[in-house]
Amino acid sequence: MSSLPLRSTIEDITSLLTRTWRKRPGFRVSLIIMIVLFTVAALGPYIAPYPRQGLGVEIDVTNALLPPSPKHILGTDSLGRDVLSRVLFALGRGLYQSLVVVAVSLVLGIVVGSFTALAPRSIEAVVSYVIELLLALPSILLAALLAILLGGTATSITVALIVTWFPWYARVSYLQARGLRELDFVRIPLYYGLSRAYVVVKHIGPNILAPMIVEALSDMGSVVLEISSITFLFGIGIGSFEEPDLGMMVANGLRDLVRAPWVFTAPAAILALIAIVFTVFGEAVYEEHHPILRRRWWLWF
Amino acid sequence: MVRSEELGIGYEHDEGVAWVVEDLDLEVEHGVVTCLIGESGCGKSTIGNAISGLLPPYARTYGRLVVADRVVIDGDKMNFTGVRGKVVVRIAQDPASALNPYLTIGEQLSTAIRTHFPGLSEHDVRSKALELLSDVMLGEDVYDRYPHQLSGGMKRRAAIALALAPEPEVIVADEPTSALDAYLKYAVASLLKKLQREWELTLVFITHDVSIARYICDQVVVVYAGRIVEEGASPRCLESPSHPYLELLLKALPKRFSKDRLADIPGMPPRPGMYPTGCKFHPRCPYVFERCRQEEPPIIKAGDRLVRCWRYYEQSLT
Repeated sequence: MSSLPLRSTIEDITSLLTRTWRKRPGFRVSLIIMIVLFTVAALGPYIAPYPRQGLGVEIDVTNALLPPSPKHILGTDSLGRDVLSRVLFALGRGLYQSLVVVAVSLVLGIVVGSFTALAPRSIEAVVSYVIELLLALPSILLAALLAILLGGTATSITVALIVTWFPWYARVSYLQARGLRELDFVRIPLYYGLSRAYVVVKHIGPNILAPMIVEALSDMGSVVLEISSITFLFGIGIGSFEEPDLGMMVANGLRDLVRAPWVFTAPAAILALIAIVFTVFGEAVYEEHHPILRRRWWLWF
Repeated sequence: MVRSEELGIGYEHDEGVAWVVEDLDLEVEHGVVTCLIGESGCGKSTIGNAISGLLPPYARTYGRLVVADRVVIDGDKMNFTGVRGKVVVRIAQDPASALNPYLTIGEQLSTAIRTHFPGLSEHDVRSKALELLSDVMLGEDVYDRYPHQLSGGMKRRAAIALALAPEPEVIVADEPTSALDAYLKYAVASLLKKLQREWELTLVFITHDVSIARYICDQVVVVYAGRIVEEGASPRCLESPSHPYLELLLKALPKRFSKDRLADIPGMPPRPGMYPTGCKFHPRCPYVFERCRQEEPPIIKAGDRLVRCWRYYEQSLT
């Protein structure tokens, strides 16, 4: 009978998801599209018609800017590469990158947040000021700066995004852990001399994990958009010009917008789809978890 | 079992230390139910936390506290190793906060049992947990339930079972009957009384409810502004109060068939760190005279009890 505090967290999340599925048609549509997107992204490298062009190692300037045809379903770009293959490769990388960013930020945020709540006063104050400082900085600029400093590779942009993303989770989990630390089942083990790590793993973690996962689910879309924004705006984050990335493809496609709109349209449409689907999914889950926020769009007017 | 000698407990704040409990001399024999009675903010819970070793890190102490022949507080040093959570446990005021909402009752009970009785097989741990549940009159089905699936009274019982898991000798019950209705109050109190008899426990029962105290206790300790003002054997003490504070407290109880307005004690209890000079009760005392304002009365033996009031001073000299 291994004690499994995770069991109830999993039950919480699944019951939340099934409840949302039952109640919200938008959630059903977006979840199905998300599953399709993830499947396509996972299979992308295997079903791409021109994998070498998709990766960018092969260029064919004689076929530059061809309109869509049976041979190249979405046409070719300025270097003669098949746009469909490029999009398939870029989609996989983008989603993988955003998953890594969200997962690592989530774990890091929960660890930092809950240990901060249990730390001595002085450390608590310093860490929460640092977190607030990171929150105050514009995250796209900070991420761009960090990505440039770290060398402008895909890994560096992931690291940079984690640095700007985890403070949100750290902040939320810190606030939740602060509420918990006054309760007897957290306070008394500490007085008894049990280690903070034990209390975090056994008592605080399970209690804040479910709401934190909800936060993370509703954030996925923003991360994809942010990665693309950085690559689009600054042209960094990719080792070489050839590697596929949705933001870069949009940026490059813009140059040939008049002559060959398809080069620009395909990645932009995919980005828009990801953004809309992830946002609808996230909002549905988030509103189902915090029903009081359901009518918050009234606040816009 | 529990003995304190001139014990003082205070809490550090920005301008110094606010002494909540001062010069406390308390003696609780083995196997006795002692009730600490007093208003909110008079230091009852602080005394309870000190006995159970749950004072926060910013607490300051002086004097001595002995629990189960172990000196746990000596001057400003506290050493509860081996006593806290093993010999003396506390039943929390709020059972909802004592139970982790993400673990079943069974998991929480078996964690406690495994900690205190290492080497028990999983089967024994489970049967011991079920035994504890039946001791507090909960069914076996509670083992697999989460705290939110229990009612308030059941949660309270589950918290008591959790406190009994280490097989303690002293139980500090800090307002275990608060926020329960009249029937459940007596159910929980009689459960504690029954467990106390069966397990030969020493029970320190903290309450502001005089009727519950009358029902359960062997020894009454009335606390006001961090001091014992009256101490004695229960039934007589609560029938014929000596100290004016207890007298007024008993008058404030609602009576059957009485049409009079419910009596109250004028004024507010003093805040820690701002206690008045002289007798701490003199601003609210109907019998106040000059000496009360000047000097603090000592504990005086008056008949079958101890009272901290100048009115019994003359009498005790003769």
